[in-house]
Amino acid sequence: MNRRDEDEFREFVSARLDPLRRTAYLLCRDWHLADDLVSITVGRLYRHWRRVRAADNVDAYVRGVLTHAWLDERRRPWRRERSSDELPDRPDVRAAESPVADRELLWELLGRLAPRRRAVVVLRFYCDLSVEQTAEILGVNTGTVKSQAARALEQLRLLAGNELATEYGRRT
Amino acid sequence: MTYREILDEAVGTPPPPSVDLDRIIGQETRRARRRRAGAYGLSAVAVLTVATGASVLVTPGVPDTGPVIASSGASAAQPAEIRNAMLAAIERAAPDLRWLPGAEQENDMARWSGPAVAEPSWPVSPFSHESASGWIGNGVAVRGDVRARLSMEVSRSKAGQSPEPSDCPEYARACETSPGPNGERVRVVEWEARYRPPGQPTIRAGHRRVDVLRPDGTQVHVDTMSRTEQFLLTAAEMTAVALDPALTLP
Repeated sequence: MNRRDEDEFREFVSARLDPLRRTAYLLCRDWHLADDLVSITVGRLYRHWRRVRAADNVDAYVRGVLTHAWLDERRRPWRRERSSDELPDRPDVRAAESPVADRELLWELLGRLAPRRRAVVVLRFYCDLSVEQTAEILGVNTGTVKSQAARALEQLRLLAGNELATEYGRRT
Repeated sequence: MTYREILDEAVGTPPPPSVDLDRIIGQETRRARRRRAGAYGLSAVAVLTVATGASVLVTPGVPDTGPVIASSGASAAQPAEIRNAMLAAIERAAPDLRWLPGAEQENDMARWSGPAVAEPSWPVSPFSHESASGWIGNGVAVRGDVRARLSMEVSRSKAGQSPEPSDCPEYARACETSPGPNGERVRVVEWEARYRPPGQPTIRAGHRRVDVLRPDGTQVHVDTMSRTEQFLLTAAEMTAVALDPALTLP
């Protein structure tokens, strides 16, 4: 990589470092590991910079690299966290008494999602990627993305406000 | 509020980044240089082989494509030594713990059943991240009515990497930091965790972690996640385990 490319690369990464770290943290729930994943991602982007630059949607490409870095990490024999496909029927409303509790509840909810479903949530609702882009990154069909997103959305919707407000009168 | 805003709020304020762009670019530049050198070397061997007609078995010399990782204590230690040290630390702090054989492989806490035995079921594995490496062990322990996953990590940051943050995160249920007796930094954190036993309402599960950072850079993390509201170990017991001087890396 020549100096001009490297300067361009630095500028590109610097501009995206914070959102990349946040995305990684949403996926793995551990800042230490999140920074590891971002470092791995940045290394891979550097290695394939010309291909990255030529991508139709550079940000979708970058998030794909990050997601794969995390999924690779998940395949390792040890785990820093455990998750399951089981979602609670509904959030524990007693805990939802403040914005902090909402955040904790969402955090707990995200932690309970299986890795690929969590990736769907993060890519669709946090990174604003399309169903097609999400499907391409995860190597699944669009129907799978839609169904997984719908189930997760149902849970997130409770946190977004209206249903809790109606049922428990907490919000106005 | 949009989903993105909700998720952003869930992330909270990030700690200072440990992503070192200069180091990554340096690693990748060296890696590319080695790969080129390896390719040239292979070409030279191939030319020489053809020229001399010699039957030579050539093992490709292309370097590992993974990131360059500084050497760490993980590779030098023996799993049995680490395992013994972990279990001895637990035994000293909580000699009455019993164990569920094989339950550590079961993620569904509802399935942690069967009789508890005195012999620990405690597999230990090495790990290596970009920023740290070490050993992790875990098992499902029983104490009275409490069944909980107990896990322990002993690690050290790699060259140029900072240790994990040891401040109290604002989203913790409770958190306390204190100095250890030998210059360690100790953090005791209770996390928000919920568990829904089969057919029962969701409960707040006992999830506590103790992090110790020693002056020599060794990090010890002890973590318990119960399937009840009660904790498996007291904060003092967990701190005693994490501060155990036998938990070292070479």
